[in-house]
Amino acid sequence: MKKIYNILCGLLLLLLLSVGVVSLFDKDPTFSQSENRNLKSFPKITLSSLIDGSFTTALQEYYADTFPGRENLMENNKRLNAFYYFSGLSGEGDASLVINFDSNAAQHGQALQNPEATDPSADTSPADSTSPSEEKIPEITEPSAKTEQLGNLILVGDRAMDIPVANGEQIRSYAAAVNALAALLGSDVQTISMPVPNAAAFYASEEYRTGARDQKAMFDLVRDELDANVKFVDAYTTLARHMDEYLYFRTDHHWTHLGAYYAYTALCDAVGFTAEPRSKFDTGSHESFVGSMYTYLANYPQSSVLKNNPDTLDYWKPYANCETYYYSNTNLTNGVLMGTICRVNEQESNKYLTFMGGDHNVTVVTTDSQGPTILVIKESYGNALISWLTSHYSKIILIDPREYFSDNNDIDLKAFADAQGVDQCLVINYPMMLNSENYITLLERLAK
Amino acid sequence: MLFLYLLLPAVLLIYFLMRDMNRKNLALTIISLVFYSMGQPVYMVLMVGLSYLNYRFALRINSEERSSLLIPVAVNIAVLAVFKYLDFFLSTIGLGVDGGLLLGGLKALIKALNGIGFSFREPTTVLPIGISFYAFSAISYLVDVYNRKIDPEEKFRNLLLYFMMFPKLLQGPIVRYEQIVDQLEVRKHHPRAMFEGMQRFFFGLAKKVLLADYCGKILAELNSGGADTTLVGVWFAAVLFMFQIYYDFSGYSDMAIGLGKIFGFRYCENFDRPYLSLSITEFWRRWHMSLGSFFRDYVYIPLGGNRMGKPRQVFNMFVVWTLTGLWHGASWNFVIWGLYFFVILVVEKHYMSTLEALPDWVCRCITLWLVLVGWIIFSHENFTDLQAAFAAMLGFGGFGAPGLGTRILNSLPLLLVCFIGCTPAPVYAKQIFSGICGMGRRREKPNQITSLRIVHLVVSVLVMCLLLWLCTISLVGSTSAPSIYGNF
Repeated sequence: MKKIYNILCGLLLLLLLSVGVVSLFDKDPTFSQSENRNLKSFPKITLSSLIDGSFTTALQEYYADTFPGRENLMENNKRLNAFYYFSGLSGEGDASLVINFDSNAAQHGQALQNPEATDPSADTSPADSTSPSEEKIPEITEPSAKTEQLGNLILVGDRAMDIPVANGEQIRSYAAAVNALAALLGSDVQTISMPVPNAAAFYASEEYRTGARDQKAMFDLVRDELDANVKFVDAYTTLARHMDEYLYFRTDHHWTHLGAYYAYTALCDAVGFTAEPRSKFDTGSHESFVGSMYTYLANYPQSSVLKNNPDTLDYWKPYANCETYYYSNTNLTNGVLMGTICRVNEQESNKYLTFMGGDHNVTVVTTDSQGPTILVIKESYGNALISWLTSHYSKIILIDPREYFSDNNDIDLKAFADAQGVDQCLVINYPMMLNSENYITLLERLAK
Repeated sequence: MLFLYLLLPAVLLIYFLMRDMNRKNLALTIISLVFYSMGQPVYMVLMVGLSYLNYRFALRINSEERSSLLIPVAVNIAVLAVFKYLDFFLSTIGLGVDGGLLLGGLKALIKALNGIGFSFREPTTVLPIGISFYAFSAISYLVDVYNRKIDPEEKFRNLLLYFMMFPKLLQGPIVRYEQIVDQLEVRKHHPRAMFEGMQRFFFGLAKKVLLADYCGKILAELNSGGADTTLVGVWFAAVLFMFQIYYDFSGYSDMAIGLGKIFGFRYCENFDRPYLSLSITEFWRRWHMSLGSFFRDYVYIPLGGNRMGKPRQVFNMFVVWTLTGLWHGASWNFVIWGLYFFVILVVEKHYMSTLEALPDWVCRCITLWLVLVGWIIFSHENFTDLQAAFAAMLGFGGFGAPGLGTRILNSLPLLLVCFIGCTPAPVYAKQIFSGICGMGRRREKPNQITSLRIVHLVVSVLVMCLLLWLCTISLVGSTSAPSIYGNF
């Protein structure tokens, strides 16, 4: 028996050791396809990092990231999650999975943007001398703000939804930030606030859209807190009238171009334009769009329902001639050509990049329409709205405060708006942002 | 991962390549010091220095003049007090420093150093890891020497090995010197014991990685989602925490005992299915046994125990439970937690006969419920949160939160496994299987190889490999959560 035990102990040791040796000498991957993120590289050895112990921490992270066969193990990890996130007994119409939704996810449903994912040529704008392929879209840096808990993420049937939870204090400070923006821009600029609902407002079961999760109540609170000189646009009611249409993606946390269209009609009513019928626009579509919700839930076995039932992204191209450039700050130098509607590579999973090519610090769209100039303060929900606006505005300037300030930019918004001849300022956000301290802080910085 | 696949096999290889015991011990000491330095290199110096001081103290205590015990014990307590309790004490008397005096000082120092060209990361804690376990080991050693229960260790290297031995240093159990003194220089490495040690280690790892960490993950989701301030939420959270802390801590103890066994040491047991206890008195004999026995032997009995009348006994218990609470963390909720058990234990002592008349299952349920309430106190360091939790327990926070039902449903299989793991079922199953295969405790002809015994071994190895595989795929997907007991 003694011999057998010796052999067994030796074998177990050998097993551990051989995996260890393989892990030392195998080629380390640098990118994880399944998680869409860069893997840790071998940490630098410095005297400081040895003394403060950070070398060890980094080494462990590097080791776990580059463990042999990691992608394969991750696949199995997902299978193991079927045990930890069991949904066998959930009834039809019930959520099969509930997890938390944090600001990291809201900010970057897709962790990295592929620099070559989009091609502005789908836009009707004429080609320009600045070739987009030569300049890289800046890689999104990790958000410096702390991760905050914004609500839940639920999966019901084949639709995943993020559920915002109202925080009265935050919503009031959101409205206050919009008021501050209006005060800064002065009476020459009409400031408009248009908070827009997400899919949960219409398609979640009752407990997820009532009480603290009632998005209409959140918007009403914003409206009540806004100063008299700020125009409030009730997009909720307009969207609600069309809720049986394809307003929101099921696999992504954004709205569809159609959803944005109805918000646009609400905006037109509020500012006195006549909304153009969709039939005036050329259309196109991207099939098999599996969006951010899937990316976020990929590690849970329940998410396969999203992958197996992808969305279709339909888009309408502006008929106005547009020129779109994005810039790293309000100096508007070294612009990079973009489009309001971009062609997205087949391989690119984030098809929502179709709209404005994703989020950029500052984007300027110049059109041949006769009309005023509008400044749009937005997160990604705003992107799908812009192409609709091209029929009415001669210039549309977008600022995404999350991107803008993550690059350590400064801004004098008043001077910039004056220089650009801004007539209107639209603040458009989806409910997660109304409750996000991180985002509101950025709005406040804009208004300073 | 790094530990499991590189460091551990390397350590075992080095250890078993060493021929004589002296070299083995030297290797083990150096490895332990290296491991300690990997986390907190600076404190390694402190720990070795303190060990040397304790070595000298013990020799002095035992010498002709028989110096007092006061200073040696005070030094160890002082180190613990400064690193762990200084800020708590200062804030209690109204002199608290925002962010902590020591931590603030350390941060300032590091900022200054970084100003002149270094690049240290900002520290998040000043607590040397394992200091609580270390201090108690040291005190038990000094007191035992003083009481002439043991002779002081003549060789510093042996004492250093005892203090710094990596399997037990960070998470216990609090192994007493007397328990392993005879193993320091002479011990046998039985292949069977090594095999069982590995088995124990893998089971401990699985408890930590496959059960505790997932309970913790679900709990963290629940807490940050705010669902834990409702009636159902708070109890669900308490159950998760109850499992998390048990599997985390007992998992670490299993790993320590298992590793000890591989190296030929016999560490004391630390847990004995505590959630099956019939009373809180029994619970504390089964939960973190090495801590309970430490307080019994080095605080309760020296204070007079139960030999000086009822009032004095109650006072002694009060001291012990205040200290037990404090040992778990420098915060008032831990003190309340300790005193909560003090009150229950005093009541139990009075009504023991009445309680014993109740059916066992009633006693178990009451005990478990009391323990559960205890964990609610334990898990809320912030007083506002604790108040909210108690309000929720009584139903003032509403019944449930959206999604709670789905969350409970999602975690049912995990809860079920956790529950079964707390019952004797796994042990019985193992015993029955071993009995059938002729590998039970009282087996005949232990060295005879039979086919059933081979089956037993093969199954054992397969189970170990399965657990290793599951742990690996769990660890690869997440950076492992630190132990809850990491702060002790």
